[in-house]
Amino acid sequence: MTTSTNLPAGVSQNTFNQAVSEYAAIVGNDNVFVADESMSPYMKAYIPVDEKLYAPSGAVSVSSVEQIQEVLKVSHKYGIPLWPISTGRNFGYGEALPAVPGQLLLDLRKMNKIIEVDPVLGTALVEPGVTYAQLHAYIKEHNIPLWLSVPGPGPLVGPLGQTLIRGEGYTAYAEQFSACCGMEVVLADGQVVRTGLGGIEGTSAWQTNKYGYGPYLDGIFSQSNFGIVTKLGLWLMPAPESYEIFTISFPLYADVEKAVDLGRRLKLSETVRSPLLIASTATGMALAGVPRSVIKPGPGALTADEIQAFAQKNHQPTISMTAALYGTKDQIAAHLKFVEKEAKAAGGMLLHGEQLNVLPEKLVHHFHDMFTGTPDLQEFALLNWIGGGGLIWFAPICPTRGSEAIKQIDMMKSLAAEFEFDFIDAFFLNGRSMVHLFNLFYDRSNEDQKKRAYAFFEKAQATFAKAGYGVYRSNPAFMKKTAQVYGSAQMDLNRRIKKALDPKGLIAPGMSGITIA
Amino acid sequence: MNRRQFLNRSGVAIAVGGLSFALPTRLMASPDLDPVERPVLLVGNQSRPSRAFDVAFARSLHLPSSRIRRVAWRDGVTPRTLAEFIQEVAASGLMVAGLVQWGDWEILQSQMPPHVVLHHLRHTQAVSGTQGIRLHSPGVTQEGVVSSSTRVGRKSWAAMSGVSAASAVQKREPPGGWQSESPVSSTPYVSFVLLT
Repeated sequence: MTTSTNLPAGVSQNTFNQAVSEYAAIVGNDNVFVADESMSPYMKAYIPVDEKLYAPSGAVSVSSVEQIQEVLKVSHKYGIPLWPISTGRNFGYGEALPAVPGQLLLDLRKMNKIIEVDPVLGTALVEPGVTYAQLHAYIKEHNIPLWLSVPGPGPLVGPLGQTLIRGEGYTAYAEQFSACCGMEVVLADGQVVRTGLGGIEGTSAWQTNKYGYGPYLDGIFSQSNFGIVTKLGLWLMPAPESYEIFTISFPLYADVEKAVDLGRRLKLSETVRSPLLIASTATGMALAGVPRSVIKPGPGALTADEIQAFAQKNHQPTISMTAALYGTKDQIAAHLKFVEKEAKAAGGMLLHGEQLNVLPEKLVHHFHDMFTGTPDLQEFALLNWIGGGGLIWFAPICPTRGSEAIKQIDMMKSLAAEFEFDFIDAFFLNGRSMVHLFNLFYDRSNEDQKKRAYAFFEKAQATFAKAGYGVYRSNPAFMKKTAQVYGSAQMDLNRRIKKALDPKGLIAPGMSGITIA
Repeated sequence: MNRRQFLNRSGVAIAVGGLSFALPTRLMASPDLDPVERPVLLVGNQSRPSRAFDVAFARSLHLPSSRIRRVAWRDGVTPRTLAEFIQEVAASGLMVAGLVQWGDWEILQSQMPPHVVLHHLRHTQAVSGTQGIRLHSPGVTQEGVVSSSTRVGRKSWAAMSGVSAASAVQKREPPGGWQSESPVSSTPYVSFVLLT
């Protein structure tokens, strides 16, 4: 038996070995991974900690709900916790690493069936391992007039994980969890529950109505460890007759305030149905794969002032707000006119159509992909900014008010200067609140940078919490601390639900800071 | 024997046999290290450093060109080229090497099946530099160094070839010099070797 280097707490090597042989009897030897070498694909971490601190004890790859139920029985018998992963690619937030080391990864990637896509009602039912690339290919192959809403890492990740983690896409259905409709969940005791109308045998309505009857349950299985979600219903956006991508550019960094207020008006009036991405020229360049040396060849952190100076020197806007209009050609023409008028009044300049060719080609191509739900790999170009493979996202939620955006920018500027990191941020405006995304790039092989990156995240979280802001997502190194920001009452309620559903705490202990203790 | 045990034993061998770090030379002097005839795939993006790496790596292998195939991802890895790549490496025994940008490296690394090991240059250097793996034909024991299986032999071989090639590129292309062509080649690079 190959030994694991990181056993679950309180489990001896002999007990673990016995459990591994029983897992292997369920899924086959080829689907249980324990040795260091076979675990290496699961061990990638962008977060600024030694990944060994969060190393799982192994992984078991399952192919069916029945296998999950059997695996759970073994885990109950030996007290081995399971950390479910769908694609295991939670980029920038810890990938597949569990919040508490020694857990056995429950790899659901082989459960990758697209069970149904309804072209008329615009719904789908998928298993955990289905990727956006797979679903996109299916829709194209069957000529179905529906669009996905894909996140940055596009083809490599899937709708189930993205929805459960409450990530963001780019189309009119950008807020992933809003498009969730019905789940199948395996509870810790092995019971299978279908939420909403899924509870009715033979229903044709499961993916058409989110709520059914009684308490709305889907929410408690997102960012949680209350069960193992094995099927997810989702709504897909009917492909519009036409679309138009536009950018409104502003000369100064301080114009973020105007951009946010304008973006809010456009979004809440439903003129713009996509999210609006507000970013500096440096963020745009990083996204296009341009290295930071083009703006700042020398050492030292890149500041917002330097970004503005670079933009002005090169006759570029410092801030741009990008979004898409969807509808008939007539609708788009009318909306575009309104957008132009509003942009002008706010001191911005509207670019659309061929005018967008002034932007880096890769960026324009990426916008066309993202705003039409086409998965691409362009956002990995961010990692070329400084190299070194370190990237974490610090992502506080910000009310969609220009004044609050400026307040958060000032806080972030101060933190970036203190810890000497480049100021590469963006706002993802999707209604009454925005996600303020700070890209913290560092070199993972540089211990000093790693320590500073950790310290940045820790202080940033505390600083923003003090000002009344919380992040919308966290990583294994900070899940508990993030939960503490949201208060002891929420933590206690989550603990009580966890204890009721999973009294031994076997499913993903530590996820979102939720444990039974 | 797993990789860790193999490396530990190699470490012991260093102490006993006093192996030097001049292994790339030794490697190149041993063209018949791995008798298994399997294809080699060299990936790159047509930038100058990437091309230089390909040449150096291919040279270190002493293989006929018919056994080496090249792919050039001019615009980095795309969903289509990634799908083709994954399909290709799924064939056990293929050896892959290349010099790519960080973003592409991260994509490739994240997509490897469990039986595939991907080393980037720093790891490769650590393996070769600190452990001083001595390369032999699989299964041959000499001077207390054990190469226990074909798989380990191939890994060692590729690791050393990677170091050799990357070191050749680094000599020819100092970091500043890499910022010379289009944006494709002006970003930080990593080299990697991959084995199935």
